[in-house]
Amino acid sequence: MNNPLFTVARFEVKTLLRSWFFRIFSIIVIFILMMFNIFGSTEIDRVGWPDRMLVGGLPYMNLWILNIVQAIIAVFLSADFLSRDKKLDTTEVIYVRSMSNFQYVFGKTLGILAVFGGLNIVVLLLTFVINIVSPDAGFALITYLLYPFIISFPTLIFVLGLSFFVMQLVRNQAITFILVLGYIATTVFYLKGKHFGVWDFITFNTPLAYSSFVGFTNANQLIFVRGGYFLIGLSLIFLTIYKLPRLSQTKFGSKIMLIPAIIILLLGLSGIGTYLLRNYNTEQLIQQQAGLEKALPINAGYQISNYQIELEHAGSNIKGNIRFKVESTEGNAFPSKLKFYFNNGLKVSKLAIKGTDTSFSQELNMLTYTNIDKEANELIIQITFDGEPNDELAYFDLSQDVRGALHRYDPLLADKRSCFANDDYLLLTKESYWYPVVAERNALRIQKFFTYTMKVKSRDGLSFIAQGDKTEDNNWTYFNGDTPYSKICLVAGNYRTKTLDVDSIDYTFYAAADGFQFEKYFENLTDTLPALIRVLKNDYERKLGVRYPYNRLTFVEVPIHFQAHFRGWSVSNDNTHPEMIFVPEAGAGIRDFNLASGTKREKRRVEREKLELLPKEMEVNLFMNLVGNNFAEPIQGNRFFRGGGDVGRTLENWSAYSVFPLYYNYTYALNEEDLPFLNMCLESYMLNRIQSGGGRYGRMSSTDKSILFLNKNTSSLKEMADKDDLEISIADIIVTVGNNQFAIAQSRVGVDNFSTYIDSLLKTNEMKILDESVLQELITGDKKGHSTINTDTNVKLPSFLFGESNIYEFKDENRKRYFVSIAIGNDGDADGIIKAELFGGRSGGGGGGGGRGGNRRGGGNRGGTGGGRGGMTSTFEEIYLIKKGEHVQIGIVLDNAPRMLSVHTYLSKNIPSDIRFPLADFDQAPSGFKAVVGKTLLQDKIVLVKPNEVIVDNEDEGFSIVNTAGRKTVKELILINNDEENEENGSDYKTLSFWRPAARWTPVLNAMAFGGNIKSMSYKKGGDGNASVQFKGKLTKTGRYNVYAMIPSQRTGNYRNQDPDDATYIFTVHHDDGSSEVEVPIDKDASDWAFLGEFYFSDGEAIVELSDKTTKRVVIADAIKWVKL
Amino acid sequence: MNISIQNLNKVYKNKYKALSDVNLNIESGMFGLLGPNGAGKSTLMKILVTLLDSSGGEILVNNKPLSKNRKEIRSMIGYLPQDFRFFAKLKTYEFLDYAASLAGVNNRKERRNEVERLLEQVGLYEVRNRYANKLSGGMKRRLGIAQAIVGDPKIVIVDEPTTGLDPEERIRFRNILADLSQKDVVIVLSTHIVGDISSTCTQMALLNEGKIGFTGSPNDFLELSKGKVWRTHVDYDQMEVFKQKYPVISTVPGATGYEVELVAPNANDFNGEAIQANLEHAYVYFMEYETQEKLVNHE
Repeated sequence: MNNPLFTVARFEVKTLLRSWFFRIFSIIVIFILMMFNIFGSTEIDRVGWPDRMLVGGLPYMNLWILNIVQAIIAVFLSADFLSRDKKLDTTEVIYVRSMSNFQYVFGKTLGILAVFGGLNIVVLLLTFVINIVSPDAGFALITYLLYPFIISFPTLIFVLGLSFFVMQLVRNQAITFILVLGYIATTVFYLKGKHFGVWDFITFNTPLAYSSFVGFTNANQLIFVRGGYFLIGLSLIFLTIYKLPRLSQTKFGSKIMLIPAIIILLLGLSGIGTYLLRNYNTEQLIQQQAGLEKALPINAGYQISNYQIELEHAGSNIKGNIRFKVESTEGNAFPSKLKFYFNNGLKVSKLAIKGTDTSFSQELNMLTYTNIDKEANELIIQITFDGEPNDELAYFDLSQDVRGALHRYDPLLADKRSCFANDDYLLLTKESYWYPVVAERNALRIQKFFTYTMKVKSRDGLSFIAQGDKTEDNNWTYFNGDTPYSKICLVAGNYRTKTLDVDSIDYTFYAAADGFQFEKYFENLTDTLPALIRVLKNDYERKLGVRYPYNRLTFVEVPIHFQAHFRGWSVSNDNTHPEMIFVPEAGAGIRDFNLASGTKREKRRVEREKLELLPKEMEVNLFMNLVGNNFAEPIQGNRFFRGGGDVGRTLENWSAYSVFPLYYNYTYALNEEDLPFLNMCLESYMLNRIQSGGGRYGRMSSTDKSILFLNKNTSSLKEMADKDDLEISIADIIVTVGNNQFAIAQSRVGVDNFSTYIDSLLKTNEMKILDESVLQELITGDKKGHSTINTDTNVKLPSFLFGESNIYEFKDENRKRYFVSIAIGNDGDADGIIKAELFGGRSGGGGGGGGRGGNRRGGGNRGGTGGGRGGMTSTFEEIYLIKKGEHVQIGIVLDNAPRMLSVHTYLSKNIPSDIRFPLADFDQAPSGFKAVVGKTLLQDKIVLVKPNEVIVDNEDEGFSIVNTAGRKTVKELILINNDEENEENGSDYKTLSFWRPAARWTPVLNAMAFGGNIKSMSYKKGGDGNASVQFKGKLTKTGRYNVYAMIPSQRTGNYRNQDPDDATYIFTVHHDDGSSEVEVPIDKDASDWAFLGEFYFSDGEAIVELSDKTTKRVVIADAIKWVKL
Repeated sequence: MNISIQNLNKVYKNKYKALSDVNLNIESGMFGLLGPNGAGKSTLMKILVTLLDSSGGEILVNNKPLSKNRKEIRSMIGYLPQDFRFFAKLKTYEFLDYAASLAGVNNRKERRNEVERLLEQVGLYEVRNRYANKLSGGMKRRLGIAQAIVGDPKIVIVDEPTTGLDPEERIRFRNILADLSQKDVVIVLSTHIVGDISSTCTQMALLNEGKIGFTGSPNDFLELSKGKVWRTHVDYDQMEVFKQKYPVISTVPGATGYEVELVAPNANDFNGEAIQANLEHAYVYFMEYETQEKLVNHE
C-alpha cells in the first residue's frame, strides 16, 4: 500500500466522505430506496411491489435506481476534483511529490470508486436485510455479486472517465456539467433502448433481470456493451492522464498514455461495434426471412396432419428425427415445391420420403423439398436433424419496433427470448419452428389441427412437459396427444409440480423447484379447490357457450426472459398453448400473483368493512381474484408502476394468460382463402360473450377510432390490410366492421337465435376446419352471399340522426307502465343498425351466484365505464335495423321507470358510437296516447336544423379559434407539451382531461355534445379571456333573432366537484346595434340551449364569441343557434 | 547538494518573458532570492520544483538534468508555494500525514512520529485536529513549512514565506529554516523582504525583470553600497525636490526640516554625512543605480 496511488486514493476517500454534496445525495438516495423497499416489499405496508419475487429483483431494482443517481453524483464529484485541483494552491505541494501522473489520476479514480463501492455495499446490505424480511422475495447470492459489476462498475468508470476528460478539454466546471449531464439525459430520455440499447451506459434500458431457470440470456450485450463502456471509460481516464496539467514524471512524457488510451478505446469500441454488427446482421436475416414469407401463397394447398417426433436434448443441442404426414387440401395435386418452416439452428441432415433419401434445401427458417411424386395426395416425410435451436428469426413478420420494444416488468427489464436451450432448461414453441410447419402466409394466422406422438430424452436428466398423455420408460419420456392440437410446445427443466383432478381434467402447476411460493396462501383451500375450479369452469363455459376441449390444463412457470408477441390477427399468443398456459417467472407482471399483497389487502378490507370472514373465505377471494382476473378475464389488470391503459382491442391490453384461446382459438378455425377476417370477427363475437366493460372514460374507444378512420378513408378492408403504414390497427377496423356484420345478422334472425346457431356450429366443428361459407351465409342470409368483410367492396357507412326522446308514464289496463321513445333517422350511404339499451338504475354487481367472487378490487376496469353507467344493469336490450333513408321512431314499453337510454350505433358515421339520453323526468302520457312498440316510420324527417334556424357547431366551418397565441405562462407551455404527449394515434380528437385540461382549444368527442353524426366540442382550461372562439353564422334574412348557445352541463369538466356553483361563461354577441356581453349561468344537470338574448341582425355574417374566462376549471365551446322571429 | 541553473529561459504563452538567461549556482545552505514583485522569482521556483517546464536552458541537480530526472528529484523536494491558503477538507494532522506519505515516509509508525515531531516543531500540535482551512494565516504558513520539510527533503524551496506574518511568526519561521540549513540541504527562499535574507542566507541572488542582477553572499551585496549611504538635513520646502532626486530611505522631521537617510553615489550636491550601510540600503542602491547601467556580474 506504499504506492502513492493508494495514498492519493486514501485521502480522496477521506475528502469525499467529508463532502456534504456526497453525504446528502447518499443519504437521500438511501432514504428513497429504503422507503421504496420498506413500503413496496415489506409487510409494513402492502408488499405491493411484485418484482421482489424475482430472483435478484431486489438488488436489481435498488442498484438500478442507485446507478442513475450515482452516475449524476459522480459527474459532480469528478468534475469537482479537477476544478478543485485548479483552485487549491495547496495542490501544488502534492504535485511536486514524487509520483507519476498515472498514479495520481488513478489514485483519485480509485478513491472515488472506493467511496461509491462503499455506497453500493451499504445499499446492497440494506437490500439484503429487506430481502430476508420481505415475504416471497426471490434470492440468489450470485445476483448480489454480479449486479454491482454489471450495473454500477462500468457506469462509474465510464462517467468518471467522461467527466474527467471533458473537464480537461473544456476546463470549465459548469460547461462540463452541462455537457455530461446533457449527454446522460439524452441517453436516458431520448436514445433509450435505440440501436439495440448501445447508448444505454447507465443501464436504464438494458435487460438485467436474472432468471432462476436460465440466468442472464443476453451475455452478448452484457459483455460487449457493458464491457465496452468500462473500456471506453478506462481509455478516457488514460486520456485524462495525457491531458493532466502536471509535468510528466517519466522520461517518455505524457504522450506514452496515448498508447494504452487508444488500444483500450479501440477494444471498447470494437466490443460495442461487434454487438451492433451482430444485431444488424440478425436484423437483415429477419428481413430476408420476412421476404421469403411475403413470397409465399396465403394458402399452401397442403397441411400436416400428423407428427411423430423423436428428440434428444444435450446441453444447448437437440437432435432427432420427425416423421410427418402431409396431405393435400386442394384435390390431389401437390405443388412442385413443398415448403416448411423449420428452425435455422437445427441442421437437417436427411430428408426421406417413404424411406428414400431425397434432396432438399434449407435457407433461414425454411426447408424446401422438391416434390417428384405429383400424383400422390399424401406424403410421409422424415427429417433427421441436429443442432442448437435459436430464436434469432422469431417474429420475423413483426416490425422491428415491436420486436425491439423493451420487455419491461415493474419496472425491471427482462430479455426477450422465445426459445431456450441449455444444460438446465429447454423451451421450444411453435414460434421457433422446432417442428416443421407448412410455410404459408396464413401459417401464423389460422390454426391448423394435427395429431402427434413424441418421445424425448434429456442427457441432463430434465423432466419434460408437453401436450398429451405423458409416460416414462427407460430414460425416455413419451407424449401421446389425445386430441388434435393446433400447436405444440416442449419444456424441460427442474420443476416441482402440484396436480389436482377435477371432473377428470388434470390441473397441474409446474413451478421452479426453488421459488415461487404460493401454496401457503391457499392452505385452507385443499378441500374446496375442486369445487371452486368447478364453479369457475362452469361459469366460464356457460358464458362462452363452448366446452373445455382438453383433458388437462397445465400452468408452467417459464423464465422471466420468455416473451411472446401478439399479432393483430388474434388475441392469442405463445403464452398459451393447447392444454397449457405459460406463467412468467415468479408471476412477474401479474399483479394477482403477488399473493402476500393480496392477502394483506383482503385482511384490510375485512377490517375496514367489518366483515366476518374465515381465513378460508379470504383465501377463496384471493384465488378467485387470481384466476378471474388473469386466466378468465381477457383484459389485463393494472401494474404496479403504471395505470391500466386504454381498453379496447389494442393488443397490449389483452391478458396473455387468459384461457380464452384454449377454449376458442386452438379449437376452432375457419378456412379462409384470404386474410383471416372472418376468423377475427368470430373470435371477437366469442370474446364479447365473456368480456365486460367498455372504454376508459373520456378516451376514444377502438370502435370510435375505427369509425373516424373509415369516415375519412374509403377503400376495401383488403386494401387497408395491405397498407404498411395504416394509422390505426387494421385489426380494430376489421373487428369493428365484423361486429357490425354480426349485429346485422343478429337483427335479422334475432340475438338469441343467432347465438344458438353459433353454439351448434362450433359444437359440431371442434378441432376441424370450418368452411367460411357457413359464416358468410349466416351473416348475409344468402347461400352465395358475401359479407363486406372480406370482399373488395368499399366500406359504406350509415349515418344516424337523433330526434326527440320521450318518456311517458301511462296506464296499461290497471298497471302503471312506462313508454320510452326515440326518433332516429339514417341519412347515410348504407343500411345501419342500432342497439337500444335501457338502464334501470337498480344496483348491479355480483347479483348472487356469480362465479367470480364479489370483489374484483383493482382488477381490469377501474374508473367506471363512462357516464354513470357503472353500477347500472341493462333492463332492456334490442337491436334495430334502420334502412338507408329511413326515419323511424322506436318505442319501448317497460314495467319500471328507466333512468337512461343508451344507443349504440355500431359501424356508422356516428361518433362517439355510444350515445346516452338521460330520462330523468317523465311526463304523464297525453290524451289519446298509444304505446307503439318497435319501429314506426315517421311522417316528418328528423332535422338537426329547422328552417328558421342557423346553427354553427364547433365542427362547422364558421367555427374558429381566435387569439390563442398571446402570452403564455411556463405552466401553460408545459401543459401544451403534455397535450402533445397526449396525442392519440392518428386521431383528430384528444382525450378530455379534467384534472389536467388542455392549455389551448382542443376538440374532444362527447356523447352529450351537439352535432350531427360527430358529436364533439372544443374545450380548454379556463383562462383570463385572452383565448376565445368565434362562431360565424351566415344569416340570409335581416330581422330580429333569438340567439342561443349550447352549454354542456355543469358536470362536464367538473373535476372532483371543485367548480363553483355560480360559474358562468361569457359570450359576446355582435349585432347591428353593437356588441353585447352576455354572462350565462351553467345548468347543473342538463346540457341545453341557453338563451343569450334577442338581437337585430342584418343578413350576412353574424358573430358570437365565447371567451375562455370562467371560474370553472374548463370552458367548453359547442354550438350557437340563431332563431329567426 | 548542488543546483546549477544554466541559461534558463521562460516565455509564457502570452509571449511574456518571465526569465531570460538565468544562470545560478546554488550550494547547500540557505539561498535567498531577492527581487521586487513580478521579477520572476515564483516562475523560477516553480520551474525548480517541476511545476513548470522551462522554455530553454537546463537545471542540473547534483549534475543530473532536472527535466529527465523528475522522479528522483521530486523525491528530494519540499515546496511551500507563495499562496498556501486553500485546503481540501483535511485536518492539520491528516494534511501533514498525506504529505509525509507522498514524501515516502512509508512506515506508519515512523510517519506518525515524524508528523508529531514536525507538529511540535512548528507549534501546531495543539491544533492538529483542526481542519487546515480553519487555521490562522500564520498557522497555515507553519503547516506549509512543516509539509515542505517533512520526510527530510534535500531541497527545500519556499516562495515568499514570510509575507503577511507578524514579527514573532517571522522569527520563528526563520529559526525553523535555520535549523534545517545545518544539514546538507539546499534551501531556496524567495523574498522581497531584505530582512529575511540578512538574518539567514549564506548566498543570495537578486532577480529583476527576469534577469539575475547579482549573485554572491549577502556581504558582497553589502559591499556594493558601502560609502553610498548618507545622512543629511533637508529643509521642509526642499523636501519634494530632494525626494525626486534621490531614493530616500528614512525621514525624521525636526525643528527646521527633516533628518534624511538616502542612498547616492556621492554627496556632491548636498552636505551629507556617510553612515553604515545595511542590506536594505544595498538593495535600494542596487535597484536605483546598478540596474540603470549595465548589469554587472560581481563574481
